[in-house]
Amino acid sequence: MAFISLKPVEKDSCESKSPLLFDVLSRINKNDFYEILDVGPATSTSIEYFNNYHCKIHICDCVTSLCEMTTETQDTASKLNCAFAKALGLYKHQKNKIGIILLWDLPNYLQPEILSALIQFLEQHTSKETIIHAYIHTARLMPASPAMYKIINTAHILKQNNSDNTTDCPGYYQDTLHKHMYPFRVMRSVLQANGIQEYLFHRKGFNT
Amino acid sequence: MIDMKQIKENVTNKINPQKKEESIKIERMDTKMTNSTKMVAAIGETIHIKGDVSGSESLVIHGHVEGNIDLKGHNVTIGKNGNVEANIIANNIIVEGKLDGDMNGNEKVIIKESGNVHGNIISPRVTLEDGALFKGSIEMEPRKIESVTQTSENKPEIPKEKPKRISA
Repeated sequence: MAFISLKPVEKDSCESKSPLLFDVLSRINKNDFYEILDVGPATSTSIEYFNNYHCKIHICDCVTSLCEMTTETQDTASKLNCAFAKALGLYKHQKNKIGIILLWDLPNYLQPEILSALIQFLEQHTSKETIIHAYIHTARLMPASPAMYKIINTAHILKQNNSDNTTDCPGYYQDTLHKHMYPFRVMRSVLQANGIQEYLFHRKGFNT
Repeated sequence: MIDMKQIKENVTNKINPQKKEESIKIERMDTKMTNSTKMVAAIGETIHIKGDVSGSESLVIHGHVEGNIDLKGHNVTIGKNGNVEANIIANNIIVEGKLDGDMNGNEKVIIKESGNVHGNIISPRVTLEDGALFKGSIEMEPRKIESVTQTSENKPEIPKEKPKRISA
């Protein structure tokens, strides 16, 4: 992981729009059954939001454990898969495929090899229609640890920084993301005013 | 015959008519209450149960339970000091303590601020208070609630049909 610099950022929470996230979530209708995977912690408002839909949400609360993973400690594919299965609570016997994966800003904080392995692991639990949502920092510095995100209504999210410090941002471009997110490719992206690029990824070669 | 109860009621109503209204309200609330809320059993803080728990009354757990808890139609509450390693089937489930297991709440599941849950939830309504810890999956079926409300809305029509059958 990159070193932590001393320049503080605002620890306060801030409310912002997330057009691509709500575009994906608006696809959930009351007649279909959706499976959603959220790598972040459970929040009251997010649960309340999903209460209106016939869906299953996997709340993994595994951001910290995934960020701690390195290719040195998980040096084989089997070790990595075991660690992912444990962290995400996803095992091979999953009945349904996951339709929406919410990674929030996690990709910025993972070792590139770990990110690639995570996406490959998730792929076995996805279908052709699966969409991955993520925030990618574009500034030189980013908060030292992943933020906590809450869905507060049908258009806004609340971002809460967990750290006052900043760290170097990997600054992923689209080409790099295609490499690390394989077989998922960028479907849409929007640059937000706060310097965060919001991305939707879908499976390569599948057009929605 | 002199009905002492009636006299007493008349006197109290004259003195305090509001009291009568209150007592009626309480009575009405009481009739609305299901059997599940009328009788509540409790497992104390020092009690440690290993095995399955089933019954026909609601349960409050302050102690330690290892096993399955099956209280269909009734409520289960895990108190702040409660520690449960079990799958729970109940009408309403409230977690204030620690739970390691799955929950199937026919009406509602509530995880309070002090709650710490590791397991899967199936319920038409799930509420999680800020500060609560949860890891697992939540399967929500809002249509289940709609169907319940629809059937309850249809209920008043049933007595209208009954007299017709009798007259026929």
